Amino acid sequence: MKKFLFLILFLFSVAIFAAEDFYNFSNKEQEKRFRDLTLNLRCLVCQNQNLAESNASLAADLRQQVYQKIISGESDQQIIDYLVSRYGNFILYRPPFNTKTLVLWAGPFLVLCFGMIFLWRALRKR
Amino acid sequence: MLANLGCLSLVMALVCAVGQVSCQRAFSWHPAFLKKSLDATSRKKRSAGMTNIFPLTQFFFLSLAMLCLMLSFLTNDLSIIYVNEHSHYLLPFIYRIGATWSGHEGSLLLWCLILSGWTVVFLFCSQKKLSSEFFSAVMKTLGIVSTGFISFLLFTSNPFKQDFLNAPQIGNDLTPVLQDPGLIFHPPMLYFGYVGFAIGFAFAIAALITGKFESDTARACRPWIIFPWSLLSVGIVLGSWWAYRELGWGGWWFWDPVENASLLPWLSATALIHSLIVSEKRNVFKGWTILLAIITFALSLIGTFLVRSGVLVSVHAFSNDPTRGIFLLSYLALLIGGALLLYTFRIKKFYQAPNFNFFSRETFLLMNSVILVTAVATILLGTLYPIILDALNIEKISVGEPYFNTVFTPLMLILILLMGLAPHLKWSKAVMPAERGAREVASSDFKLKTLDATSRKKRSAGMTMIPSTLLGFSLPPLFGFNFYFLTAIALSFSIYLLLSTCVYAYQHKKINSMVIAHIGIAVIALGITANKSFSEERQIKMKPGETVSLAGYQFKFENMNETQSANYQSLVANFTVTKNNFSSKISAEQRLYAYEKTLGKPGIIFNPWRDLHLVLGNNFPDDAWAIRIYYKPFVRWIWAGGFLLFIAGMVSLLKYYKRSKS
Repeated sequence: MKKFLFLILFLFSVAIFAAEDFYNFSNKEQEKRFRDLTLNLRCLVCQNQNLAESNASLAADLRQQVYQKIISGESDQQIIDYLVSRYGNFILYRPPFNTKTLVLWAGPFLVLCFGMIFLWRALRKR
Repeated sequence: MLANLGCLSLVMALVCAVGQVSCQRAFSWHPAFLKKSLDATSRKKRSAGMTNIFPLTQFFFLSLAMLCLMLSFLTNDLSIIYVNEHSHYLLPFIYRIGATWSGHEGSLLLWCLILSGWTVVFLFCSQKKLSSEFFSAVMKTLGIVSTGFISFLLFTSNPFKQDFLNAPQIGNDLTPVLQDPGLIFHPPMLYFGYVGFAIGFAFAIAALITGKFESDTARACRPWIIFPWSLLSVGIVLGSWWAYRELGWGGWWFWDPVENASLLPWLSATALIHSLIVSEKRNVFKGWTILLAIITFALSLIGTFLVRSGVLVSVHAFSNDPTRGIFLLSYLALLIGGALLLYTFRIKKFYQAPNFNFFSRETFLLMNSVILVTAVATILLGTLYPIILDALNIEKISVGEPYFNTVFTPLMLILILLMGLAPHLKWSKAVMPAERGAREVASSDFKLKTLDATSRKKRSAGMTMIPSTLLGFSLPPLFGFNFYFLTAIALSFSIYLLLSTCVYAYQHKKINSMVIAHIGIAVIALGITANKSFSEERQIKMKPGETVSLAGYQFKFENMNETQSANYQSLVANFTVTKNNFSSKISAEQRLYAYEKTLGKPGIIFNPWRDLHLVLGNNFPDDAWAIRIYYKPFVRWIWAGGFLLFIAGMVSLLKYYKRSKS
């Protein structure tokens, strides 16, 4: 009888602890933040892969760190600042807007403006 | 033996390429000394006879070289360095064929072979349609491109280099990721596209040299842009599908520089197709069309440089062994710089004052060019910027999806809106030069007429905006997806394009290549939007016997087993997926190849509406496994749209063929 009970308990425990998620969040919003953050951070040792999808062990460590920081209540900006201070801007797939990336961010807009001006002038000549 | 034969054929092919350049008939644009050679009729006759021999023999020798390399792979001749780096005695037959172009040297040989193949096809199809002067200028340009690439192949990356002393016994094996049917089809398709744009480039150069780019020339040029474009579309789609199946991220596009390198010429060629149609039908935009043809091929070359020079892996690795990179870069600078220089000197000949109304198809096609060129500039900037910053030792930065989402996506949305509208506009009535005097009166008259005619059409085109907005905003909640504002906007735009194109097809009672292509783009846009917004995933630790759920599907981990294949062993995780009446089996694998190379092979089941994607990760001490499950809605639509683009290209070619017959 005791054995039988134990077996039942054992079965139940399996049912309860089955298939644990790697990252447990208290709400959907945290989960979404975690997903967005890891998708937009670069795995530092891979050729060109983000943290969410990389299988490298460094990426797994960083994922864990991001996870811990999210559940301890840090904001996205705090986490990004921390990672940038340690690994530099290389880790960000969205480069920050500063003097070094001015051309990168303004370039497409300028090209579009030039194109439109060119178009306008071409059409006015008619 | 095969290696020697292959090497010899490469040398012969180089000789033929040089012959193709030097034995064309001289051009009238050049002063003095070439004129003299024109006078020498005997020489002219001789070289006219020779003209066709060189491209043909070049193709023969390159095919022979390719055959030699392929046979070396099939017989596993490990004394050839290239073979022993990319093959293995256990490698299955089909992948040995694919392995021929799996590395740098082989893929360059494929590049040259395909260029030569295009040249030969062009020779047979278009020689009679063009003036002999124009034709020989095209052939000469193609010869120059070919000479450069065959010498690059021969002098810096000879695939037939042998090493008898250190030849290993088994070979280094082909990278497991490449051991997939994708390897057989994706690179050739991509190269057919990439390299095919060389003919458009040659047309542009010939037009600049001869000073002629009439309607019929533009017409003769059209299939040589559309055909490569269709194949490039398929190549890109195949690449995306391959990455999705193989790399196990559930992703189909990563804005990786290698992917960008294939998208750049595609975008530019798309602009070129549209501009070319205007040049053909309205005899305007000629300078712009010529410039786009040069840019498109330049982007193909830049792509080849990026992928083949090693600059992407690391700028510093590149500077350690720069021979290949420097060769390609200087060749690129010479070819494209030369072309642009020629362009600036000769372009005045093609200038024509625009003679169309604002609300005409011409204007909208010009806008299409502006936006596509901006898109090209954006991707080019995003791809090259980190490399340049790193090369200048300023900072190491990454440019990835968030950047392109911010900058590229809005451009595409505007483009989709224009695409929905433009076909409903009429061509403007051209004002002929002879009528210039009466132009003022005429144009205002035309303006009234066209405005009147277009406003009716435009109204029906504009009306479709209302149902599409309604659908875009209501469909996701109706089908139980979350509502996001941006998703709703993107969906509305895509549905608008779809409806508006259908309305066009209905009004004009025809389904032409334009309709198919635009529907293809709408399908792609719908697929991307839905996929990006509604995908779900879970990462879990699971033991056999356990069940998890995702997006309403129950995944039951049945068991693990091991299987043995020709050149790898694999661990297979078997799952059963159930939802209501639906039930299916799905298995993810981890493969172990020779030399301890491992590869995860995701399990995928699909229908038109969604994919379920299962990835097997590492194993834990307590018999549990790391599992990732993805729910990817509408991902097939992206590739289906890509194939619609291909079909559109084929329809256009068929129509062209029929018309030229009649």
